[in-house]
Amino acid sequence: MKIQKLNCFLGQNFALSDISFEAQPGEILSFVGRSGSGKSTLLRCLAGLEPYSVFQETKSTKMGFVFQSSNLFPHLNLEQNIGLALKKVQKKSDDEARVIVDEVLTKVRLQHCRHHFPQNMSGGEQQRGAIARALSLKPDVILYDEPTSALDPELVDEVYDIMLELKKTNIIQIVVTHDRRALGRISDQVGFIDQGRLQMLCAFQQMEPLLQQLSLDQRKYLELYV
Amino acid sequence: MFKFFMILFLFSGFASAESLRWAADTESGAPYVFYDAESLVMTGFEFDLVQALSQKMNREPRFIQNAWDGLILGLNNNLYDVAINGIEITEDRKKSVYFSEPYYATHVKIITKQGDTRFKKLSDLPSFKIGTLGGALSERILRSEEGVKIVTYESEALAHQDLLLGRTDAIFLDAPIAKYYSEVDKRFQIVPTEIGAMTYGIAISKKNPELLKSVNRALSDLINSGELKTIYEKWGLWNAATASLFGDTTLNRLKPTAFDKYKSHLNNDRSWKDKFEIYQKVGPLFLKAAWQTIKISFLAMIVAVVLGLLIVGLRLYGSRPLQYLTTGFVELIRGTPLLLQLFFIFYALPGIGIEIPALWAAIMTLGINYSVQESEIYRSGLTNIHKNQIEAAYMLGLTKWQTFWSIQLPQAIKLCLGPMTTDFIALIKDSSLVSVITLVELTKTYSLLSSTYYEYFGFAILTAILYLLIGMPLVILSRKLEQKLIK
Repeated sequence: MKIQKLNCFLGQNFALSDISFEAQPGEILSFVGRSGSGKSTLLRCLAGLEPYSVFQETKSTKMGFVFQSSNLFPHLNLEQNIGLALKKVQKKSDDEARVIVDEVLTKVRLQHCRHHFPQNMSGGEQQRGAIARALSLKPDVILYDEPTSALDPELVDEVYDIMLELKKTNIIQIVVTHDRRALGRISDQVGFIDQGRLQMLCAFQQMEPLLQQLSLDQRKYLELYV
Repeated sequence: MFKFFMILFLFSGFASAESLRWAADTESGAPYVFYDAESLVMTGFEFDLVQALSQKMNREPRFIQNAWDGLILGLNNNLYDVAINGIEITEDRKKSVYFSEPYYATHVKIITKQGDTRFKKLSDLPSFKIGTLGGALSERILRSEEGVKIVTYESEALAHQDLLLGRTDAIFLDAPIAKYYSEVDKRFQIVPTEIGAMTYGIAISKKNPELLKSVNRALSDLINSGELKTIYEKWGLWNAATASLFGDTTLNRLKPTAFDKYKSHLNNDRSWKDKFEIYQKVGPLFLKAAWQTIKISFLAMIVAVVLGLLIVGLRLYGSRPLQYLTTGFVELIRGTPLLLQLFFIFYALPGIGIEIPALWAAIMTLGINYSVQESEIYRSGLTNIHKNQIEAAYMLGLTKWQTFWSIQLPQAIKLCLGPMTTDFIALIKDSSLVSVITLVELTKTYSLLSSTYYEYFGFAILTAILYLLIGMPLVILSRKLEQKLIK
């Protein structure tokens, strides 16, 4: 996946300007930044939920998206949530869909929640359910918009465990997050977005020397993460 | 003034060559046209007159119920051929309809509570509250007397009731009404003074001069043969004014058998057994009326749901012009009274050639009126869904239509069930308004039967119970559905 000079206007203002990055299969790329910096907008552009322009891009159209909350449809149980797109979009038979549901539920360790409705699942289970639903369509990329922000701290790890396991399957995972643990624990690359620009992009371990290039204000923010 | 208009029991827009469609108001209709309290069969001196008249004319009488002050309007809309219901011949009315030769002459009387001696003549009335029938000549006489506080009624029975309750000081009614409602009840007294001579005539549409001629011929036969006099004698209504009108100076020969029979049924202290018999008699009528209410309400609900879905679909997903159009429609319907809409569909549309039978007009109007509220309920249900849900569906590759059908609609239904139930119960209650377009449903039946038997309290409770029973299945069904959807 390669993006060169992505720009996005929302209303009159530049929401994003000249964002460029590359990600290899199996990588997890995290974007951090203050609220309103444009990091979520970047994710939504990549997903096609916001209009944008780009100088050059190479990306798969098979993308999954995990929101901060309210991912699962409340009127359907987990199996139906996952099966819906398989049957309606991919036109799979009931049996074919069941096999895929089994497979993805095993991956996210939610076999026991198969017939549960979202309101009867914990926040962590709901997020893992959303990942399972994204996985069922065999995506090349999964985008996460603050996937753990709405979770109790003890539930955060179960989501990260799943994301780390998915690295093995060559899926590119792009995460927008506020959680400082996410950076060291799961990220291959960390991007820092401020005022719509990508100010820094590097491996987590290489962050410290690069901080010197940033303004005092930006440094103060990022030091919280290191 | 824009007043109500009702037609009862046998309504038919089509006249066969043989039938004579005649209209009157049977609500508190004694002695003109009313239902006999014992047999619930139609009777009255004008009923007898019509029977004799149609026999002379060799036509089959067919009755159509209509509110008194709408009788002439219905005549001009060709809902029936003649209106016979104590309609006074006046210059004003002659402008819009033909009148036959007068068939009865009478006066207006002042009626007071027993022992009240304040009122002797018309000029005693100013500054007092006087009840009368809306639209009748008696009302016009009162209007000409400055300072009278006029209270108009549509029902003689209610006018008497209010006098007893002290809501009016006296009432002012045609002599035949006074005889049948006041004279028979010791709590009232009739002031002997005869006020404002008047004659009744048969009203006929101006489009029908031929009918006028044959009615006049038949009427003159009935007068000359003495048949009409016999009818009046039977009802105790033969009076000096009518005698001089007919040029018949012979004395009253017959006993007022019909009047006596009427009086014998007016028993104010009914035993429990009498009451039980009355309830047994009216039970089927109330059930029949309840069925009419059910039929109208439930068919209107179907119209409301289907149309409501269409409206919400166009408003949310239609093209710009369609959105403006439906929004305009919603505001128009929501901003005007249901009653006005009923009048418009039933009485105004025929003016531009669109004639809709009463039942369908009622279902359509109620359905359209409620579709607007339904569409607003659906709209809030559909738009209250979290934005993430729609975007998640988009990311899964669902089309707009699939998203609507599989994600938005099922959740919206759950949100809408409660408000929809409330709305439908309101619809059942609003269906009582359709009596203004000639339909007899539960509330109309209540007012007809309660004024026939003077049984206001018990019948009101019976009617209320029936309404509750009609709404009950709806409430239970929506609870069940809600539970099922929530799980």
